[in-house]
Amino acid sequence: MANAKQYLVALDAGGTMTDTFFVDEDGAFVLGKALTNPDDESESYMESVRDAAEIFGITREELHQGALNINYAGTGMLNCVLTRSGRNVGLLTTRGFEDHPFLDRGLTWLGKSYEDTMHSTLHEHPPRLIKNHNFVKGISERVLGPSYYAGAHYPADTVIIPLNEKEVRQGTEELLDSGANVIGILFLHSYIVPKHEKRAAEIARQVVAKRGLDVPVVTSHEICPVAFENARLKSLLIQCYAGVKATETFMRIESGAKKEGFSRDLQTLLSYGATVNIRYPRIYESIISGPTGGMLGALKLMKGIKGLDDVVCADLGGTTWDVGIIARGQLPVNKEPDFLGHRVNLPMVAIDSIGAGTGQQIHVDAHLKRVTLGPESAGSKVGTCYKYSDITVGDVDVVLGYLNPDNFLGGKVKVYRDVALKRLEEDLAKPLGGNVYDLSCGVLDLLHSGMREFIKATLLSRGYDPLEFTLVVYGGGGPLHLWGVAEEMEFAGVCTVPWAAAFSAYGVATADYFHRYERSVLCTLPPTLTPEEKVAACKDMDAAWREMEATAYKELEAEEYSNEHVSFTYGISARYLGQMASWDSEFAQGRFKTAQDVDDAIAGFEKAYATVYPTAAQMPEAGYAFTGVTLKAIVNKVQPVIAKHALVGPKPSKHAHKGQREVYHRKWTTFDIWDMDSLQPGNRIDGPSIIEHSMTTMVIPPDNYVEFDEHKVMWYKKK
Amino acid sequence: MVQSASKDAMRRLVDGEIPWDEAKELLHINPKEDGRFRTYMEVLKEKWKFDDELLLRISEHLYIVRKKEGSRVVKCDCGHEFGDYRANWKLSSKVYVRRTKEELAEVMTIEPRNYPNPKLVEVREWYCPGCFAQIGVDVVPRGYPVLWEFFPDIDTFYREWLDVPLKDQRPDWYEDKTPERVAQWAHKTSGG
Amino acid sequence: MLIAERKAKDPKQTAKGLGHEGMTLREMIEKRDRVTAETGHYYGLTSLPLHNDDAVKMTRFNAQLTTTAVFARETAKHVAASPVMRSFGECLWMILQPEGDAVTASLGLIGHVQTAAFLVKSIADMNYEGDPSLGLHEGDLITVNDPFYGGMHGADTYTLLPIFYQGELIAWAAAVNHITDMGGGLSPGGLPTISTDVFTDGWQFPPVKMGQNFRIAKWWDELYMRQTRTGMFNVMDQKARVAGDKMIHDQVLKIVEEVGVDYYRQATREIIERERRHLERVVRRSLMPGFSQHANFNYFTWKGLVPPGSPADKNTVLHRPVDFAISADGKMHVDYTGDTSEGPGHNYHVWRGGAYGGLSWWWFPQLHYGQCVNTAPNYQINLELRAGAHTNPTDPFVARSAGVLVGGRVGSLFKCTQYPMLARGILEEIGQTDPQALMPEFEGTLESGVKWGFGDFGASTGCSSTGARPYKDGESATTLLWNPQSDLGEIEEWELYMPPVVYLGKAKRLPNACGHGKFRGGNGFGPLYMIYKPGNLRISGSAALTCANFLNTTNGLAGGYPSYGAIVMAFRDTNIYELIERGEPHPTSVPEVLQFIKEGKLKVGEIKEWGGAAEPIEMKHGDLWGIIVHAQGGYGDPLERNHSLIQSDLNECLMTPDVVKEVYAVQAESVGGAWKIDEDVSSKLKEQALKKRKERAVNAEEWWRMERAEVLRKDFSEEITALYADVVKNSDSFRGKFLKFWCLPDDFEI
Repeated sequence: MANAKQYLVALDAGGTMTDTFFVDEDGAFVLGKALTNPDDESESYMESVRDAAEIFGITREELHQGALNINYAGTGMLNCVLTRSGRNVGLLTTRGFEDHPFLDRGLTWLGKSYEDTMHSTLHEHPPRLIKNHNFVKGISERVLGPSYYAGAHYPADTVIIPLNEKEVRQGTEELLDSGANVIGILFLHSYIVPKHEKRAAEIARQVVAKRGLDVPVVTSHEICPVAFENARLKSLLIQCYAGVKATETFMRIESGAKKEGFSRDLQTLLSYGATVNIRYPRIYESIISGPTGGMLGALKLMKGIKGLDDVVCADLGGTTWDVGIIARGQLPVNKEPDFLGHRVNLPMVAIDSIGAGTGQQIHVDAHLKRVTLGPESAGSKVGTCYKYSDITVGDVDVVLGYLNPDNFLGGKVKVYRDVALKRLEEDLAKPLGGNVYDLSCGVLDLLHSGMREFIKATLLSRGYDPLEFTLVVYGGGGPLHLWGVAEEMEFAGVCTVPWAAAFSAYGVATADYFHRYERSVLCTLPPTLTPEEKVAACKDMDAAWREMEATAYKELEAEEYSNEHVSFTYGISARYLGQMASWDSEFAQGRFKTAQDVDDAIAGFEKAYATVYPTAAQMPEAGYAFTGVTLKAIVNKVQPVIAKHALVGPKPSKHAHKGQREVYHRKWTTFDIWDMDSLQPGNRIDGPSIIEHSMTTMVIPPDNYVEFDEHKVMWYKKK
Repeated sequence: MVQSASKDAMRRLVDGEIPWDEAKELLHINPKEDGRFRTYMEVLKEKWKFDDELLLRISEHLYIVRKKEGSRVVKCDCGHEFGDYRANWKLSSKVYVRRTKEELAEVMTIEPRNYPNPKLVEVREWYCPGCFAQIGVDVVPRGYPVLWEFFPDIDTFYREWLDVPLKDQRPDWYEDKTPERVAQWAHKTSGG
Repeated sequence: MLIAERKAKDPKQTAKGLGHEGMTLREMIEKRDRVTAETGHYYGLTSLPLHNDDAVKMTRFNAQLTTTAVFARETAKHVAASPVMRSFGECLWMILQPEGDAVTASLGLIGHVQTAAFLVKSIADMNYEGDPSLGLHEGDLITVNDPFYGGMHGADTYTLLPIFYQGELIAWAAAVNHITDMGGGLSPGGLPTISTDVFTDGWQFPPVKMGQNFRIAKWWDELYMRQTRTGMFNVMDQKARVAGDKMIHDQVLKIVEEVGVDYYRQATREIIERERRHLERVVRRSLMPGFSQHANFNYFTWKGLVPPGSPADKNTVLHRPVDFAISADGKMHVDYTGDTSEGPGHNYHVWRGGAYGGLSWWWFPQLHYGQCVNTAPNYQINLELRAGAHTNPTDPFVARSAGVLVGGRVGSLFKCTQYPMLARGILEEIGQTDPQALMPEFEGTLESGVKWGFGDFGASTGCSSTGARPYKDGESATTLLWNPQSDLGEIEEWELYMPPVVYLGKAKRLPNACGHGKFRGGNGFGPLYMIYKPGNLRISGSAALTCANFLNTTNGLAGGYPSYGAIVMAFRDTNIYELIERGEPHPTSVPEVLQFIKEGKLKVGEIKEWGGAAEPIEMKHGDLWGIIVHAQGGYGDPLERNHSLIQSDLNECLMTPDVVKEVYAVQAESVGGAWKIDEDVSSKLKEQALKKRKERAVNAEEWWRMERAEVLRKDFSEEITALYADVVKNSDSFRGKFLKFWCLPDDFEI
């Protein structure tokens, strides 16, 4: 092999593009792009990797041979559910609940706008994950669940209806007869009393084995031992419907890579930011991982390299503005996210999105003199300046001069400013009455304020103050509209990076290798307890942690990490006794030996709670309840280096200057145009300026400037 | 996004064959487009088999039409006429009243078939005397005056909301003639 | 003491008011009403200058306010203890004008945007501001739940927080949520099934200042703990309301700093006027001038259930007609004057505020969904009420704890607007969704002696099926009228709070449970509880908005059949645990229980049945209690139903072959487990069905003579006689209608 250079390769396969972030030991990196091929992701994988390799000046084989590890965050499951091409799922569930897969808990408004949610004639059930009731068998069985009146009533595992094994056997036979090729099992309260599920699975597997079939049998308590049967059911069904298939896709990509000399296992990213081997048993946990990549990148770059603990991560694409909050160096986790109209039980890095983006369509209501944006988006059709039928934000960017019509995607796409101008005059200026350029600025104000308000709301709703947070903006459209967000909002700092356009892929490369485990428990701590009783009350949690540690060792061993490489961190969910919601906090000890341990855990909860709610909402006198325990089992993994350069001084080199352009920035103004790749660490670019890159454009208004620091992070500042 | 219902969409909607995705596009129009009524009437007129002039559609099968000689009547798409639209068309229909538990249970089919409560209400089924299509169902106590689904103020609508006044507009086109209708019946009764 | 009297007694205001330009709250309200009446535009805004000058800025400002309310709800509801609020979202946060009109609101219990204005008026009428014993200051918390002061029903508890900017009252933050138990004297729950008067309704109070400096007074928590069965839930709900109000308070002040107080004052008024205009435009585009009518009834069987000698000791039918008109100017006129008069026998009395609140269940899903929901529709809808009717009573002591029925007749309002919509060609929006709530309320003492209480929103109240449309069947569990975020909840959550009550089935679609038609309504479903070692337990089913005894609010359209109001059944002294021991299957829904009994599989000591609300009854180990949740009406003639739809209904087990034959005149055969239609036989069956209609039907005139004769003989059941006797005597509008239609003498009486 020619050179022994080693590389990290990470891919973010989005709906439209598959981005590759490719970096060597010294931190030299390139980006590769290719159109995602939903029918065969292994093709677009190869395309995107080839693109990166070429730019870097090596062959794809060299890349694969030199790759230390390859992490592929895909959209396989998303497509599988969208195109309804999943497995033929059969379900065994508690008798009486056979219709739950079809009624979706009545949550027929998930993912709909405020207006469409109000407009109930638009409510609808999502496409089914199970064909029809012939694929659902009710089984006689019932256990008592946990109680708010714990201790005052019968215990959780009380069997009210014994498991009817005959029905399990018969049900499995019938499901196989009707052609089910994967079988899920969910019984009520199994997250805390799994005995019936376990036994039913044994029986079902026997039946399958007897027929000599390869039909997986999956139980809900293995997939996600978490309360709430509808959400748990969705997790189970998605694992059954799409998980199996997703693993197949990953396998295909891996074998392709191995053919070209890749010597390790392919890895993928889970929705809560963990890198895992693609043979991970709960692969459905990777349903949405692309956006997560961005958050991880921000975490590594801002916390890991810049030492900043409080960061707002904002990704502007063509359609959505995704905002995530890193507070005190922690990634936020949402435990009941929505996925294509299904509410699942699955921890996911919490990212809030609104419709806002460079492709958004502009609506004008002449009667009410009202301008609104979206929800429709031109996507890759940009706007009337390219291939879209209606005026969009993209048209405005081009008409005002922020975007260079000849440098769109590095000139790969030719857009027409004159067409956009004509349409904006007809569809925007005429109905509202006024100057097309001022109104276009107005449209951007509307877009930017929407983006700002959303950041504010996201921070405030969690009790955070923007002044303590650093804003990092990325995504194809990020640098282009960063100025509008920063304009009327104060942050601790504002920045972006030259590789903003493939930032999520970069983030994927930085992901830690770990497994996350969670159990629901119910330990109640009324104020009356003695220290001894307190510790006793928490014994279930201890047990749960020990059990999860054991599982973690086992699973990671299977992925060839022996125990000494594994380290743990612990977390709890707690609430005031009687509350419905719980709040998460870290718990260093991970075990309850003394009453002090319990008090520490409580203190952690009180701290988390107080950041969000006013004093009037606190209630220590009620006592506390611990409702969940989490465990992270982490193993070390190679991280991409972000090279640290010597600073060359503020003055950019001559050849970085590409010329000048007239831009209507509230009035006609002459902007300097710069070439992103020619700018050096230490350079300062003063507004009015525009920095162009084949994949993105950075706007710097007259009163602002940008400084490139030693990591080429671009700090956006006021003069 | 769709700003108005195309004529094809309108046809599918009227025939009850519009696909859900297309229906959703129409549902998203808010407020509904100005031209909807025009498109609707064009589609209805294409389907209309008779030579009197369509003014409105007021139910699945029922229309208000202007006849050659100038009267405005309710007419079923089977061709049967219910007379002056200013009197509740139900009074020119055939009617079957369900009163006993058994009669009610024939069409109220959830177990236990005890509802509605025959002691309190009756179910009145209104049929078109021409084609005997079921054109209305009321559930009211015995002795309850017949409910009038909709008595449109046609002249005002065409004149002030569509801005195309009807040539034969007259103040008394929006006068409830139902009392006259029953008064005649009462007169016959007392008359012998 | 009535507000009216109190007003008269008030000392003349002299102190400078808290409002703009030193106006008192009452003066501001009077001014708003005056100029709005004079001009027909909210606050006299004949134009919208701020919208015209800078549409973008205004859109931005509006979005800021709505986001503020939405996030207050999303954040604060998690403080709550009661699943009703937290996972169910039975709560709402609003930003109000100083005069009380809601400018915008979060999602949730939207209806309250219409009641808020009435609550603030009560606060003004009590002269909070001028009366030194009350006072109105920064950080004051005011809570109210008595519908007499403007709300819908006692469980809906409001907390208001005034927002001052440089000493001027510029807004209110307002929260409302449905509490789990209001401490009813005769039956438990947020919506007591039975209460004979205000004294047995439960704990209801006028606007009370129960906190200062954004802190809740300790005595207030104590009251909740002592006066209600679910003290801890209610205390935490109170904390959640305050938490959200405080967030709105702080954020609104930030916004005012940003835009300036003059802009805020004008812009908020413009938003309300803009939305009024929007509704007017929707009416002009989707409806039509004209007149529609419908009628709605509810049945209360309290005979023998209330303390002996109580005037409420009787069975009562409530008459709730709707006369609906649209005038040339696009205003909508809703007339409830035909309502049964006030009096004992039900607890559904409600005042003007609540009546307006109920209207929202009809206008927001049907007409005024949009980017901003607020009080504007109050100014586009005239509501005619009769003083002394049960909607708008004059007696302040009447029972009002389940006044939620204000929403019960929106099914009638849907019908009144959907025929005009059909005439306009807005067919896509036509589809009945009729309201229903049938809430199981529990009260018990566990074997261990621990007392508990609960209301199970998840059982049947969280989500309704939808009605048939002119182009598609209705669907099960798809929407909820009063809360756009429908939710059936999670059993693993609800069972935490109802220890001895075990769900044997929940959302199982019931065959044949729908309104039949060319397109059918969405099938009903329903829970079945099995009782397990309960100690002492009472269960009731409360707040039947519509009532199975009458099907009228779930009527179909254009010849479609009606469906059901909720049906409740209880089965006592069953041998179900024997079945279970023998390892035999158990029933999972009410119809299945009936089937099991019919087949002799299940033995039952006593069966109780209610075609609507069910009074509290004692339940023991092995008893069953269940609901058939209301389904929805059909559209068009069943004989015109497409056979492929019938076939899929059979294959999805939503219909049985016998019913398909009886109602749709279609013959189906099961072939290898799948259903096929026999077209030849079916076409003959259809001929026979039409022939049957011809034979059975009579001319309307002939029918009129027969039924008129019965009217003259007053040949009605006791309850219906009482109904007519009341409204024919006391409601001029109904009397006129009744005498005219039956051609009766002017002195006619019943």
